[in-house]
Amino acid sequence: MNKNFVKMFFTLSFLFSILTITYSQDGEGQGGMSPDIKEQQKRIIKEMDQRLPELVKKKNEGVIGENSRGYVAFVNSSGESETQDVVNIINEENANRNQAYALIADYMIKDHSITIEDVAKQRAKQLRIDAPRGHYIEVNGSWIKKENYEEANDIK
Amino acid sequence: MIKKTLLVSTFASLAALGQGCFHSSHEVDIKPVEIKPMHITIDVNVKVEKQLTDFFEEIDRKAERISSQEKKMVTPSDVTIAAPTQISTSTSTQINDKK
Repeated sequence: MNKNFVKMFFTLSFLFSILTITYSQDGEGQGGMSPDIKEQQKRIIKEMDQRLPELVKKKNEGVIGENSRGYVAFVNSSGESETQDVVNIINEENANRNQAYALIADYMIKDHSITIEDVAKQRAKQLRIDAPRGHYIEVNGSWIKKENYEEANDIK
Repeated sequence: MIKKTLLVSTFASLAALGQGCFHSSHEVDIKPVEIKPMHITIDVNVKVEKQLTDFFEEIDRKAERISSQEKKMVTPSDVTIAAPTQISTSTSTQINDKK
């Protein structure tokens, strides 16, 4: 009776330790971010948020578009719209995005084979799908309006 | 002589059996190697997508809201007001007569 009890105790404690290890590893990828990473995320979002109205305005005007690498760029590179203000918006937005992609690739996903470019490309896919009608997106090296892309690919 | 023949045939049959076993285990080994990378790629993509959605969720929602608001907004320069038509003096006298 006693032997059985000891066996059961050890088996249960072994299973418990395995479960603890598994859950702690899962937590690292999800909510178990260090305070420093959370702070960085907050700062990036705050900076992007401040720039957002101006960025959206330029996207609505067709000046700025989403390229296929997960960053923003001029739709027509040689135009009157290429003012210093717009150049600044693009550079600052892309810098923030790069920081965000690096944070995701290096700390949030526990897979060392994932690079910043992989994360950026995945984001480009998301933005291509979620972009509102009228905004420009880069597909196969050329800029097209979202509605034209939807029509060409039979997306409603 | 018979002993030798028996020994040789036993070895041969054992070798054949061993080869058979080895062959079957070889096939079983290959299959997971072919499937595993695909599974990992999908899993990693899902993970990346989830992290991206969590990271940019707030910003994306706000961008959508701003974009739709901007499109709905009508500036005064977009609105053209038609010039008021002048009532001729004859029409105005007619109105006064009726009164």
